[in-house]
Parts: sequence; structure tokens; C-alpha cells
Amino acid sequence: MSLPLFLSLFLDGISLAMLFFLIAAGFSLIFGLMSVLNLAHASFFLWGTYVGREVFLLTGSFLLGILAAVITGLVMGLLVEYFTIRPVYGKHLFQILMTVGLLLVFEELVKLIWGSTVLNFPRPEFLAESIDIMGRLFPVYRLFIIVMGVAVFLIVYLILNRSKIGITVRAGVEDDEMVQALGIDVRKVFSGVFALGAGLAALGGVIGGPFLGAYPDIGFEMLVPALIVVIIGGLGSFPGSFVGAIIIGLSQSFGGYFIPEVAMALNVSIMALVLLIKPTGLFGIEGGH
Amino acid sequence: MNKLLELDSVHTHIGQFHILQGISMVVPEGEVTVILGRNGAGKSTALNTILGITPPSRGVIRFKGEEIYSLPMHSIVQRGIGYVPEDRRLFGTLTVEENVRLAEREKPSFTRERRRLIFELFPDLEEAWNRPASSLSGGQQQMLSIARGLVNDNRILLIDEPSKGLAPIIVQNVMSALEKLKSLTTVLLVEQNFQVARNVGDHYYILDNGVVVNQGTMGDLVKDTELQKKYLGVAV
Repeated sequence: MSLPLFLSLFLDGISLAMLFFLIAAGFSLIFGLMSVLNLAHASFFLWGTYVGREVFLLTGSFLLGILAAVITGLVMGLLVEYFTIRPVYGKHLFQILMTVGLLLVFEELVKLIWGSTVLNFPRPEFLAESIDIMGRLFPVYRLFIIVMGVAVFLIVYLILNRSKIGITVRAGVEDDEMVQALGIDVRKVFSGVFALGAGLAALGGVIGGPFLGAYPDIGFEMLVPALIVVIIGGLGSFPGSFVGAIIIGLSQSFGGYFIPEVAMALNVSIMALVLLIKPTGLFGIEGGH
Repeated sequence: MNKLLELDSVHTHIGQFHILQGISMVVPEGEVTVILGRNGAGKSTALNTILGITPPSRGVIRFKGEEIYSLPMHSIVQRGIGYVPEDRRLFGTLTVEENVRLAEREKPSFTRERRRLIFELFPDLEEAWNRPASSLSGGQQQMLSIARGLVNDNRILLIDEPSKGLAPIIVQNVMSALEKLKSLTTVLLVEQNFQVARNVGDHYYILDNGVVVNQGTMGDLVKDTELQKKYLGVAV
């Protein structure tokens, strides 16, 4: 394999990884903190894509598109948590049924509003160029995705590690009852994390749009690799989601190029291998939820 | 006697089990009240019921005269109740500093003062300040657990079996820490180790099968070897 090809596949893999990370991070934190298996999480990615695209096309501002998508994710997260998840806390089977149902409803709503066909999500003009990397053209937009992903990782990582709210979230992943016994209203923390996770997924949706396109199945298609990322990284671990996403992003990129027929099987094999070596995932907490 | 905490005919069910069967207790302000009893008598459940971890199914709990039994756990704690659980329940991946910081609710000036006091009481914690709580020894973990209860201006500390699972030498340290705590706050202590209880306690309640079977001053209990033998299994 030539160095330019390697670099190109590597950057492709990392940009895909950042999208996996944005959807997986919230999924992982929500499960780790609240023990809620939210399969509707992919809907936030889906709606982030469509709302972001709509606002971008209406206003011509990609930044406004991003803002609108994130706000949509936050609001959807708050509403979904309050009205549909709270009644089924601690009931995993009901959570799966409820969130799969929500995923379908949100997907159907997208079809109702925007139709079932693949819609073009143009790149913003200032990111439409490609740059030459050792003789191969690489879209600047994908570099933008990488920068956004790394920036979000660093910001949320700092919040989780330096602020009291971050410490509360990490403590809640270990033992939410004891957090309450220290006088902290863990319900409010739950709602905040749920909304934050949904906002991150919606951000992934809007910045992934020009890369992946806008179509109703996009959320569901992202859900499976995101689940693999969460399991590899360890449920509830934010850095775990980042590392897991990079592993799966690179596997998808290199696997898709060299052995496209079994690229997904490769991802699942990596997950199985990690689970055999460390059943809690790479960064999972022993004894967490 | 200023009644800080009162339990009035409190019943608690956990699933189908009727654990507390109408217990009544009074915890006077500024003193150490000890709940004694054998394993399974309902001692830890009594603390959990006060905190709202296992809310009472019947009866009334008053703190500073206010009925608190129907409040959510965080609201009960915010009224000035510190909790030191039986199995420490530290956040192992968090550092000692983060464990303490998480518990802090007061103004920074009070917090600074309290941290100084904690370092005086438990110098080990200052040395281990930036280490994960999971890396501490059993005794250090107990100190951190007590420190979490001390960081706020709590009116009462509920301490559940602080000597459990500790080596005798460490139990001595915990005991001397408990003695120092007496000057800072009211304590409701659950303890199976009678030697610890007799050294720090002012009053006692003995629980047996979820019922208060005896109560009084610690001085009286120390003299009553028959009672000790009957309910506490103390060899005389």
C-alpha cells in the first residue's frame, strides 16, 4: 500500500470515526449514568441532519444550520427524556420497546416532511475545496469533521474532568444513589446528560450530512456501528467512545477498501475480541451500571 | 433535651419483607446515639429509612421539627444530614479531592475551613489528595467516607458500621476520629462492635427483628452485662 493511499484511508477513517463518536458518546453516557438503553438516540442524528440542512438551505449559513440542529437535538432530548423515558426507568425491556418505537416514529415523520428519497446536502462554500495530500485529493470538509470531532471531545472531556457537574456525571455512572445521598438532585443531572447526548448526536447529524447525504435511514445505519463503538469503549466511558470510534472508523475505512464484503464482520470481530479480553470494554468501569 | 431527629412508629418494607416494625427513637442534639443489634436486626435499614433510600411505609420522621419522610433523598440530605455508608460507597474512579468536592455544598470560605479540619483529622487524605479513591487502603477509604460527611455544615451525621472490615489498629484510628466528631456535630451511629459503641456513645437503642427492645444511656448498658449478652452477643 502506498503512503498517499494509506493517508487518504486513514483520514477517511478518522472523519467517519468522529461521526461515530458524536453519536456514541451520548448513547454511552446515557446508558452509563441512567442505565437507559436509548435506541431512539439515532433519531437525534437523523433530525440533526434534516433540520440542519433545511436551515442551511434557507439561510445560506452553515453555522446557523449547525446551531439549529444542536438546539433541535437538545429540545428533542429533553422532551423524550421527560415524557417517554422517565416512566420506564429501570425497565430495560420497556425502554427497548419504547425507544425502538420512537425511532420509527421520528423516521416516519422525516419521510412525511421531507420524503423518502436521498436529498443532497451541499457542503458550505468555504469548505467545498479539496487539498492535495501527497498527490491525492482530499476534501477539506472531511478535515473539518475531524477538527469538529476532536474539539467536541476536548471540550466535553474538560467539562467532565474539571467541573463539578462533570464530576457529578462521572460519579453518577458509578453509583447514582450515593450521588443523591450527597444531596444532589440526580434527576436534573439525568435530564441534562440526556439533552447533551442528544445535542451531540444532532451535531454529528448536521456535520455528517454533507459527507453522508440526507436520507431517512441514516440514523438507523449509524446506530449499529455506534453500538459497537460504545461496547468497545466501555458503557459510560466518554474517552472510551472516542477511542472505540477511532478503532471502528479505521476498521470501516481500511476494511471497506481492502475487504468490502466482510467490513462489517471485521467490526463485529473487533468487538468480540475486546469483550473476550476485557468484558467491560476498553475503558468500562467494573461494577458500573 | 433538644430533639434533633425523631422517628415515630416507623415501619419499613423492602419488597415483601417487613424490616422495621414500628420503631420510635429520639436523637438529642450534640450527642452520639448508637443503634446496636445483631446482624439483620434492621440497623442499617433504620438509617436508610431516615435518608429516604428505603422510605417508610408508615410512621413519621421529623428533623428539626419538620416532617421529612416524604421528601426525595437529596432534599432530606440538603437539610443538614450527612451520611457515611456501611461499605464506604466511594467513587473509585474519582480522586480523593473529587470525592470531597462532590459532597461540598457550602460557601467556599466554609469549605476551605472544613478541608483544613479534615486534613488535621486525617492527614493521610492530604497525602493521597490526587490519587483515585480505589487506590486507598480500607482505613483510608473509611476516613474519606467520614470526610465526605464532614465537609458540610451538617447538623447530624448518620454513620453506618465504620469499624466493619477494618484491622484493630485502624479501628482505633476510626474511634479517635469519632470522638473528635462529637464536638462538631450530632451523630447517629450504627455499630456492631460494642467496644467502639461504648467508647463514643452517649445513648443507645437496641434493635432486634426490627423492633426497639431496649434503650437508655451508654453508662447503663456498660453496667448491664446480661443485656449485652442477650442482644449483642458480647462475651462477658
